[in-house]
Amino acid sequence: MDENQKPTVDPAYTVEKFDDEILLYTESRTQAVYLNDAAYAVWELCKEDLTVGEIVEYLKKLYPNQKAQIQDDVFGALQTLEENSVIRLSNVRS
Amino acid sequence: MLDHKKIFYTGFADQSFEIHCSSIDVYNLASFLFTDFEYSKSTQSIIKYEIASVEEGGMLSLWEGRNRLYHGSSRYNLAYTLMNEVIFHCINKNNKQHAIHAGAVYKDDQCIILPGSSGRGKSTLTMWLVKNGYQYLTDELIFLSNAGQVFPLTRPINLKVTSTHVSWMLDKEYTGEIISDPNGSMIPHRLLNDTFVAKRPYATHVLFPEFVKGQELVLERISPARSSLYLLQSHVNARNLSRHGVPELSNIVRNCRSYKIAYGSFDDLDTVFNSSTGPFGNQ
Repeated sequence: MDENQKPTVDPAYTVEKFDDEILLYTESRTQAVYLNDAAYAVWELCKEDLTVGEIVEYLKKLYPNQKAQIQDDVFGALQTLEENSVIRLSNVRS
Repeated sequence: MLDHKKIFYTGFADQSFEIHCSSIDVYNLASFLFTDFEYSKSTQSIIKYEIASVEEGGMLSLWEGRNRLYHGSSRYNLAYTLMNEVIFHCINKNNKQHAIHAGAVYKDDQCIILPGSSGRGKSTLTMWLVKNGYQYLTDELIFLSNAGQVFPLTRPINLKVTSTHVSWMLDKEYTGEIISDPNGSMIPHRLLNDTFVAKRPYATHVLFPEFVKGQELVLERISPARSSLYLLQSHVNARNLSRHGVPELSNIVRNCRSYKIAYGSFDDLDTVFNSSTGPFGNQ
C-alpha cells in the first residue's frame, strides 16, 4: 500500500455502534460492513484529510506499545474499507 | 376462469389470498400447505390463484389471473411454486416488520431463530430440533417486530431432498401424508411433534447454521455486531423500511445470544441443544 495515498470516505454510510464494534451500512447500495474497534478508528481518521502514512504515524503516537503492529492493522483496515467501497484511495500530488 | 370453484382462504402479515380449487383433491393440497396460516378477513389486499386439475393424466396447473405459474404432473412442484408465490406477496409490500429468511423453534422461554439462505441447512436443523424437544414455528420465514416478537410463517417443512437422503428423519409409514418427488419433500410438522401450539414468542437466540457434509460440529459464539451483519443478509424486506431497519434489527440482536453452528451430521447435536449446561440449556 502506498503511504502517500489519501483516503476519502463515502458519506452515504451510517454507523451502528455496538460495545467495541461497528456496523457501517448504506441504504443506497444495500450494503453493510463489519469493523472491529481498530478498523473503526482508521475509518474515523479517514475523514481527517490525512494520508495513509499520516494515519499510521498518528496511531503509533497514540498507541506506542503497539507500534510494531499498527502499520499492518491500518493497511488491513484500509484494504477492507476500500474493497467494500467505504473509502476511495487516491494519489496525492506532491 | 374463476367460477364454480371451492375456495380456500388464507393469509399472512396483512396479505390475504383466495385459492380457487377445481377439485376437492387440490383443495386438500391448499389446506395441506396453509393450514397453520393466520387468516384475517380485515386485510385489504387479496390475491387470487386458481389450481386446476385434470383427472386424466393427473395434470395440474396453477394460475394467477391469466398468468400460468405452473403446469405439470408434480404435486411437489406445484406446491413449491404456490408457496413461494404466497411468501413473495407477504414480503413484497410489508413495511411494518422485518421479514427474515429463517427457521424458528421454541422451548419453554427460549426461542431460537435460524437465519440463512437456501441450502444452508436451516430446514434440516429445524427438523432435528423439532424431533428433539423443540416446538415448530417455521423452517422458512419469520416477521420480527421491533421488540423482537417472532411472527412465524408456519408451513410444512420443506426439504429439498428425497426420502433416501441422510437428513430424512421420518419412518417409512409416514410417507402417505408427505408431498414428495425427486426435487424435494414437504413434511407436515405435526408428524415430528403432534403437540403443536401456535405461538408468537420473543427471540432469545440467533443461530446461523451451515451444513457441510463430513464437517465436525463447531459452535461459535458471535458478537452482536457480527450477528447483525449476518442477519442483514437474510433480511428480505429491508428496502421497505426506514434506514433499512438496521437500528431496530441491531437492538433485537443485542437482546439475544448469537451463535454460528457448522455441522455435518446429527451426531453431537444433543450435546449442544439438550445439555442443561450447554448454551441452549436452561441453567
